[in-house]
Amino acid sequence: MAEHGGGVGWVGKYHTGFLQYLEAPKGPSVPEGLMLSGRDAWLDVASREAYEPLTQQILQAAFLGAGLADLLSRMESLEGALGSATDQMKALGKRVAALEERLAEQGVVRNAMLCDLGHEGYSLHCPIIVIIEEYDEETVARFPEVEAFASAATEPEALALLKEDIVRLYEDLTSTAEDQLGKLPRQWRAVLLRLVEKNGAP
Amino acid sequence: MGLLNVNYRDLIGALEQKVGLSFRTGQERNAWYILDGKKVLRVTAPKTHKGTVPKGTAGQIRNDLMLTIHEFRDLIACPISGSDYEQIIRDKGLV
Repeated sequence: MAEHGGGVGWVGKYHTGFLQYLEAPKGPSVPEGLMLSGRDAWLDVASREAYEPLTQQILQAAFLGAGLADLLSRMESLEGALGSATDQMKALGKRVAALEERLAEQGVVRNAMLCDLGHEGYSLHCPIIVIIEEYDEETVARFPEVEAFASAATEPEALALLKEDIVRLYEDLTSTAEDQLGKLPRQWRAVLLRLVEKNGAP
Repeated sequence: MGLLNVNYRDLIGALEQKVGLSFRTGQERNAWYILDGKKVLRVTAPKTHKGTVPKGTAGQIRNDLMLTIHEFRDLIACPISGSDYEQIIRDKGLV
C-alpha cells in the first residue's frame, strides 16, 4: 500500500486476491477515478472521509472491467486469427477435393498373370504379368510394355479382350516391314517376337 | 471436373480431325498414327459412343498419344493443333 499527499489520494493494492486499506465512495458501482495499473488500484479522491473502504466485490468489478477490455482486445486478435484459419481451411478443403478427384481417377490397381493368349494359333513362351485397373464404370487390363489395352465391365472380360489385343498387335506388327515402324512399334515387335509363339510355325 | 473427364464426341473429333486418325469399323478399335510413312503410335478408341469416356480408357488414350494430362486436355479443347501434336511426337524422337 502507498499513500499520496496533495489530495490526490489513496492507494490500494490487490495482492493475489487480498484487498488492503482501500476506500471507495458509497454505492454499488466502481467509482470514477479508480485507475488500475497492473495489480495496483489507484483511487483519486479529495478526502478520505467521503469514502468507505472498498469492498472486494467493487474492486473485483473494477478488475473485471479492465479484464473485459483485455478480453475484447484478445477476442479481436482471435477473430483475425480465426479468419485466417478459416481461409486456410477452405484452401485445404479444395486441395483435399482435388486429391480425392485424382485418387478416383487412379482406380484400384493390381497385377494379374496371363499364361496363354486364348487363341489356337498363338501361345506364350512364358507367362506375362499384366496390370488390372478397376474403376467405378469399367475394368481395364494393360500390358504396358507393348501398350496393349482392353476395357470391359469385369476383369475376366477385360483379360480376354487384352489377349485379343495382343494377338492383333502381334499380327499387325509382324505383317509390317520393320522400316515402316516407328521407334516404339519396333520395340513392341521385338518384345512380342520373344514372348509369342505362332503355333505350327517352323 | 476431373482431369480426364472427356466427352466421347470431343475426343473422337480431336483424334480424327487434328491427329488424323481413322478408326475402322467393327471390332477394330485401333488406329495408327503415321508420320513419314511409319507407324509411330497405336491409339485405341473407346467402346462407348456417347457421353463421357470412362477414366481408365481416357487415361490409356492419353498414354497412347504420349501426352501429359494437360497436353491431352489442350488437344481436345483446341489450344494444341494437329501440327503442334506432330511436333510434340517428333520432339520425343518417336519417329
